Amino acid sequence: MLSRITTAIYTGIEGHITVVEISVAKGVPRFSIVGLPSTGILESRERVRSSIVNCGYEFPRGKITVNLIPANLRKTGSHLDLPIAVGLLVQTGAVNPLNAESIGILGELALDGRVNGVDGVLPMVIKLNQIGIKRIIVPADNYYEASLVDGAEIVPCSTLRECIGLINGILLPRRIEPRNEGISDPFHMDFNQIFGQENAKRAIAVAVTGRHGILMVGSPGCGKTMLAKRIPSIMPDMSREEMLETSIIYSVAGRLNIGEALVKDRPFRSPHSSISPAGLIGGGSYPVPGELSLAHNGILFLDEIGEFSRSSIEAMRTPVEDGFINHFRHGYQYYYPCRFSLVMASNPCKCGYYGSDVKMCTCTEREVEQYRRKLSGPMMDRVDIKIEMEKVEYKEISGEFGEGLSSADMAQMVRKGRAFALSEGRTRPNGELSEEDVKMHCVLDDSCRSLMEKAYDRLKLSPRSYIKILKVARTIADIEECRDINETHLAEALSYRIFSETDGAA
Amino acid sequence: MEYSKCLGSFGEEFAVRVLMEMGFVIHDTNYKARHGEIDIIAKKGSTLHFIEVKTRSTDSCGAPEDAVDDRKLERMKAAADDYIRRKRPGWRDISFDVFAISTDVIWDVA
Repeated sequence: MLSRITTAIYTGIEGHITVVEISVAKGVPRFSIVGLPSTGILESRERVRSSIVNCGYEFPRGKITVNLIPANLRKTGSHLDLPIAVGLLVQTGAVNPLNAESIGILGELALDGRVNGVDGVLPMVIKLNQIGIKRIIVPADNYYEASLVDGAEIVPCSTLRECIGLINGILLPRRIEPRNEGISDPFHMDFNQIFGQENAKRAIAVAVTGRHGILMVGSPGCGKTMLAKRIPSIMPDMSREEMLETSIIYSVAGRLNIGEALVKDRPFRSPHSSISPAGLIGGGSYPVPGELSLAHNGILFLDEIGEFSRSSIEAMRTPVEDGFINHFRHGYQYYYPCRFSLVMASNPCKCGYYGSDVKMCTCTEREVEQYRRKLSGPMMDRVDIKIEMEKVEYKEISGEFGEGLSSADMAQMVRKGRAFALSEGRTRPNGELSEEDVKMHCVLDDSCRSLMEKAYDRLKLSPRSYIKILKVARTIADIEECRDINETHLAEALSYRIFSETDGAA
Repeated sequence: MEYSKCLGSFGEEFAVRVLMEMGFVIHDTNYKARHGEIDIIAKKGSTLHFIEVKTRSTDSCGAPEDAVDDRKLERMKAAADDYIRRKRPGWRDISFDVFAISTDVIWDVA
């Protein structure tokens, strides 16, 4: 006799339907699993056997073959324990096969028959729901996460016995209180806690509005990191789709805490400069998401960009440009999205005081040049706005908190700019406009054109920087709610390039 | 005699009786080769069966047939090789079997 249990697996952020097919034949006892299982899945034989016996059920006698359909897809994850156990209990008659037919089952077993929470529940439940399997048994720990999926009847279970009871219809599903989804933590660090740096704050608001990459250059202690940490406070709230996208990544990465359902706040990731390429873009034999994907729909902050290794920066280049990462493993493609606002900070040179009037720079000319070369490297292609931080004057420090731009003011700018862009029919953020879009939406009038011409020659701009300046000017015009870009907008956009161009960085 | 040995020899005698009733011709019992041992060697039709008898009086350690693992099978194969070489050279049609007996009778250790 055969038994079939429907479950799922995930590759990247994608769920796949998997059918656990079990045959028990006469013969010398053997328990084998086929269908490209990972070592983790093979180990489920021990967990399944113990939990069945320890829950007081009979373990089927004979030669057991478990086949995981589709057999050509590599599978990993401990959540196949429960479907395998249920399939075996169908064989011994402990489970009614008709009841087991139309449900989806996910869960890891402990030796005593307890059901443990697993990773990747969200994409798997989405897939099961999609093909019409509405009733899905999941570990109680993953209940909230799974219940995000509209239209699915999620049944939580904590033990193998409970699971069997639920399938046979002896037990009724437990009622778990719907969780108060609540609003996210309203406390953010506020921009008005920062002394001075009003220009930088404005530039950040512009960058967030158009999702432009931004680079802050300045001496140690001038507030680069403080500024970056406050960026989440001015970003618009995540839409439900964005929350789901980000939550799927966190689900697969095993970073949703127990009982946590949804990533509601935009992620802020700031990997240390010593991180490996794999830590950034993800990796492994069954690839897991890296920092870039964990920052999806949020902010990736690279502090001390000059200290990142060449290979780390090279690894980020394509994903940052494309907004997704593809890993190829054993003939299969694992896809992870990574669209985020890029924020980078750097010292102007190795010692940090090049061009500063506070302290003398102690770097040799060669060192400065080497440091600069890293700044002008491939990551700079994604940077539309570069700002040089100013020296903070004493009277600014001695002032009261809350005198400058506050997060609320800046958030208002961002909201205004985005709403205006949307009303103009631009759905993509300006930082991601294509060349054609730029031509269509970033039209310069005569006076702007002459200003641009002068700047192009004087600052030795490249065609690429030209496009970037247009995009930034467009965003500034959006914030001012102007249909057309005027000279002030363009001049401000130009000011966000000057530092690098004069210093020879492209 | 030790309890387990006592249980084992009871099982083997029982198995021989049942096999004979089933039409097997018993060729040898407790055949010892250098690398292993075979409890019963019996023939039915043209097939020579090498049979391991496992007797359990309780299933607290699992079913009796579960006790036959890969290592035991390897030893049976080695012993069967030896048997065929010595006594039935060239015999092709062979089978390895487990005769599993569960009993709930607790035996007096004699």
